Amino acid sequence: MRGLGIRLPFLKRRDHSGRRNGGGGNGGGRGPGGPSLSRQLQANLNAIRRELGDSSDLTIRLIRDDSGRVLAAVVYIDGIVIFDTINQMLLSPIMERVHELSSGRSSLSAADMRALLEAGTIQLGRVRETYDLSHLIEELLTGSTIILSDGSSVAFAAATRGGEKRSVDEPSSQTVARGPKEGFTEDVQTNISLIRRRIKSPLIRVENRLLGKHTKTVTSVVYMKGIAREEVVEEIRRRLSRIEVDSILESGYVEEFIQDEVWTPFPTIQNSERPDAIAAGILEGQVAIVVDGSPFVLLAPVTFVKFFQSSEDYYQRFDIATFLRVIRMVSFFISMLLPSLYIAITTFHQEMLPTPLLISLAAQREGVPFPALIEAMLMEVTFEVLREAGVRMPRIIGPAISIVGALVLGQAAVQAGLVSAAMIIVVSFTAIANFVIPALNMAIAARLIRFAMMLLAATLGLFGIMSGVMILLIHLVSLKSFGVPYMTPLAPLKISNLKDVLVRAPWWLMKTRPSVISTEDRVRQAPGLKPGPPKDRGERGS
Amino acid sequence: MRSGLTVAECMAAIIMIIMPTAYLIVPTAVLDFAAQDAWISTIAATAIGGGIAAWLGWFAGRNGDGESFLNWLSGRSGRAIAFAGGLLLAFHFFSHASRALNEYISFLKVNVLPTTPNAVLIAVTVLLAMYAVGQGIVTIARICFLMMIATVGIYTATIVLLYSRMHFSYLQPIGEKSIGHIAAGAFTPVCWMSEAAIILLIAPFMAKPRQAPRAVIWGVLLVGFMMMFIVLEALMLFGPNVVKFLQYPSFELISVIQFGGFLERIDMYFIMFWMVTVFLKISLLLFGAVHCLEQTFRVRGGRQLILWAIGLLLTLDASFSWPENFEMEIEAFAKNVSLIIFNILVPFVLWLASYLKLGRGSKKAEEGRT
Repeated sequence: MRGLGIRLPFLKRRDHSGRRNGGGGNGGGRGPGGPSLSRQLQANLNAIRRELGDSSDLTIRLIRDDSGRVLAAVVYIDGIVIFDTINQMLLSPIMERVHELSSGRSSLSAADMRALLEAGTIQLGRVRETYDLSHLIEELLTGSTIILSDGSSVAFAAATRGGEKRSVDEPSSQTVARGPKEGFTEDVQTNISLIRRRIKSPLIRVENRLLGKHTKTVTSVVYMKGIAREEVVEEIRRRLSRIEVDSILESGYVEEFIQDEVWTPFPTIQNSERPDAIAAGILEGQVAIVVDGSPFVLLAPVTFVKFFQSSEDYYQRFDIATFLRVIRMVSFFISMLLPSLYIAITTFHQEMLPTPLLISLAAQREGVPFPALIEAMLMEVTFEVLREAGVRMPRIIGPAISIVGALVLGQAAVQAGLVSAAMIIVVSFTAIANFVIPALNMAIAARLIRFAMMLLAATLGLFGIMSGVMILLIHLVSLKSFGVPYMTPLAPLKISNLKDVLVRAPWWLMKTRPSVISTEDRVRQAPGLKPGPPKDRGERGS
Repeated sequence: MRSGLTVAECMAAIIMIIMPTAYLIVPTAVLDFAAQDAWISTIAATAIGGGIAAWLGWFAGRNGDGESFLNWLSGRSGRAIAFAGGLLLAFHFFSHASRALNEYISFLKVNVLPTTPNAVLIAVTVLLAMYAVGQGIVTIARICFLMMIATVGIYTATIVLLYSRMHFSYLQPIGEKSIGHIAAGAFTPVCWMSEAAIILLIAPFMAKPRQAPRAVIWGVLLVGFMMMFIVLEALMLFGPNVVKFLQYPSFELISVIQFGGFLERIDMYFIMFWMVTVFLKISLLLFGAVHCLEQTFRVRGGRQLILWAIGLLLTLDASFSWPENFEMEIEAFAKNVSLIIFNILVPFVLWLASYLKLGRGSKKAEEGRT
């Protein structure tokens, strides 16, 4: 039953400070105290047109009474709203009710309009009151539909955000053989819904804020109350509130603004396209940051070993997962160190090679005019160029470039005597090893470090490599991610957390969440879950 | 709870300040005197070293509030004693770092990089140590812990790979050497174990400084075990008479390992690992020197300046103060004496001073109460 006196919970009074859901964002740089709305509808419409430069996608639908007098206006930006929703849930009911209410009156008051909305005329989930122009524009730009009425200085913003968006699809990175095939999209609401579908807990908290003066990008902080450390959540809030930029187009922008250490090749914030990976992180006490416009959701705090864990590790048997994890770790070191070890040994420490191998290498290098470093650099740079070309070029040309790059160029380089066959093997194996690392940002770090290591190996041999390793070790141990030591649980040692580092223990053994990330509420399963065959009652009884 | 060093990390730091260079010197030094009874010397040394460590740990643990050692000492014994103690300890850590650096570079020159100029090797090592010290003792100790874990793996691997070549008969006759010989054999290991005195400086960085005795005792016991292990390996592989003629018996041990027909010179991989441990030792000593100077002169916010100054001085000292034909054996006795003086006598005097002042302080306090 519709009645004017009934209050509906979806109607929220807009906070004049511009904050929403406790967020401390800059709201696009427009602080509180912007110009108030006029009671004249036409003046408000002119102000909107002036602010938006009379853009062609700005749509204003006027609502008139039977005599043709303009009573109200519905304003939205075409393309970022769901048009059907506006028509069915907003325009049609408003038109119908306005005609009922305005019969015999010159204009509608704010109270009338509010009563109209509260009466359930607008069948939408969220309607906000807006008192000043800057907030109105902000709502308009984020996909709300604004309802203005003549004689009222209050506007109503109905959530009609929509427009074309990509459907949920398999993630392009972090693919798995076993496990969910869903990936995040560019829409923040879809992404949060993908997380909520996995964690149906009332402890989930979502805090939204707008970042970017011009882009007004919705950025959501998602965590589990009582499992994520409050000081980490607070620190993330603090760092996000510091961001004052004109645009946030991808989560990478946010990552660079909130990371702990600038001068490091290692990522201190994890990202994933996989809702299951993000949900698992949240369940362990990590905090997710979902940025509108990006399918990559951030997770913090993070430790070094997290970058070698794949979602699949937890879907496969623990022995297989452990084997694969060891392979990944070894691959990481190969990816960083193999070319430099080759350079150091062939240049400085030939005595380490068995004589037959040494003779074979020397024969291969006989016609090569370059020292090992230049040879390795040539091949590494060539491979990096090929890899970059592979990412940028149209997919259909990919195989052709692979053939040209890997076979023709490699073979031709060896035949021309520019590089040795051994170097081709070293560089190829290094490149393949790099692809084994599950996290792209960690794989890139290994690629960068490789070049520095090659230079050190060429100048100081194994001593240079060890110096480089030592620098990395010191750096890694001193690194932190939102207050959590990056090398935990190895340094500092947390024995209880070692069940998911190099070895992935069986699920029934991982009774607690990682203590360095989560709060005191760490128990995640009941004791005594180790499976076993049922005891034979017949035998017992006999 | 304060975020600081755990007992295990502190223990690892103790091991890493002793073992890397002791590893080179101890087998020859012990076998020279005690021959086939060298392992008994290491056990005796561990017992004595453990006692010294217990006392040092107890002394360090008395400063349970996490205040820096020299500040604490200044409060207990007066500024003059803390100043003198700080200068002496800074000098000791600096000169010891310089000596360790020189030994390390000499080794590299002979075995790894014969054509690279010494100055380059010294500069790179010092810069690396400075970087480590700049990151703090917590970082250094945590790396020490990681290396300690790796050490266990490497030691186990050497046992497995060398087992078939060991001759248990080289241990006989047991107990043939006199107590004097065994005691003389134990002297050098005890001197090296006294380096555990660095606990005085690092205990305040522990999460629970009162656990310093545990850390240092366990550290020295493990060092004793490692020393005995190396001595036994060298003894059973080469026999008591050959080791004294080897310059680096510990590395000679590894060099005899053969792993199939495709891997040669396994000792080079071992040397790479050993190089990391020496980096850590030099970093710990450099930390000691910088920390003592910083606390002695009460430098506020000028740590980087001291670090760069000491780093430069260390580079110059290690480059020019040591003769080209420096031989470890000749200097060994003087070095052992200096270790005893700075690691045992100086801390003892400082403890005595703090104890005496404490006595007066408590008497005054008691008088005040009555």
